[in-house]
Amino acid sequence: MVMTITTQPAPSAKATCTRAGFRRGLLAALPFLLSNGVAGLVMGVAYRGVGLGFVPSVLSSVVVYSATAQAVTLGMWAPVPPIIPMAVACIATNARYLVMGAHLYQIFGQLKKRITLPILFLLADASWLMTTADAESNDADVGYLLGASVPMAVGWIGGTALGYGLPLAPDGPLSVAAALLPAAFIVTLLPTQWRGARSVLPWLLSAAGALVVGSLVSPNWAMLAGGAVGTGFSMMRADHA
Amino acid sequence: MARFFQLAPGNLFVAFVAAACLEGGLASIVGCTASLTVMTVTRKEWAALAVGFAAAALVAGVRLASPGSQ
Repeated sequence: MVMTITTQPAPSAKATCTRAGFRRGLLAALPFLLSNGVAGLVMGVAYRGVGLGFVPSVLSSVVVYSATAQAVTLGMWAPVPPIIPMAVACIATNARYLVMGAHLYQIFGQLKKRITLPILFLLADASWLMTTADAESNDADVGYLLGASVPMAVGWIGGTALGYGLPLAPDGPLSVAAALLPAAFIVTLLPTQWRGARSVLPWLLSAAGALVVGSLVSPNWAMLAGGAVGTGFSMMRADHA
Repeated sequence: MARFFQLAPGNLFVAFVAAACLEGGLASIVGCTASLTVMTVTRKEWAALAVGFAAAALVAGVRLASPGSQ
């Protein structure tokens, strides 16, 4: 069966890129300067723990700029890094960005790619969700996405640099707690996705699917598989967004 | 397709959190629960993140300090 995905932006959508949107996003995402900074600290400590130098550690956070991908590759680190398994794992854990990118195309598809593509380099789970929520109450503004991304990127990259120099034990309680922060970010954004009682069953199915796949198959596939189960159920039940 | 994209995020993120709790164990479960509770009550991200972080650090500290850990 061939499935066609149409990503033509809605003709009624009005997308802009403004300084006001940038400022609004920047202010809304300021707490992430601290939270991403703490998570970045842990990444810096972990990089130092595997013997990576300061410059490669910081460059990794700049170029890769993905907590999931960086954590996955760190977990698979070896004297001779297994490049192909690392690449497959990173693709699996970041495949959700296909969904996010397609969704953003629906919102910002009318804008020039030379504006949107550089901004998308800084896309993160939280900035995507914040931008989606903002576009529902204001005009779609890619400036908001850029503004929201800046504190996250500065916190993450700066945190990595600071953490590299901190005498923080990689297995200490603060490091364990900091490793939770990416999940905590998502938890704080969940209320924006809550659709009332009709969310209960799909969300339970999503969680159950993730737990089953994470336990029996691979944690790398847990999010995609669990999310597919819950979303599939919602689609079959003809839920409205 | 638009309906799919609007329905998918919540489900994907619930699955993300569930997988993270599975991997992170008790500290992650307690931290995420604390964050969700504070976020639901206060709607302040910084408060939710701070409380979740503190709760997870507390649990991790207790577990690391308890006899038989490691």
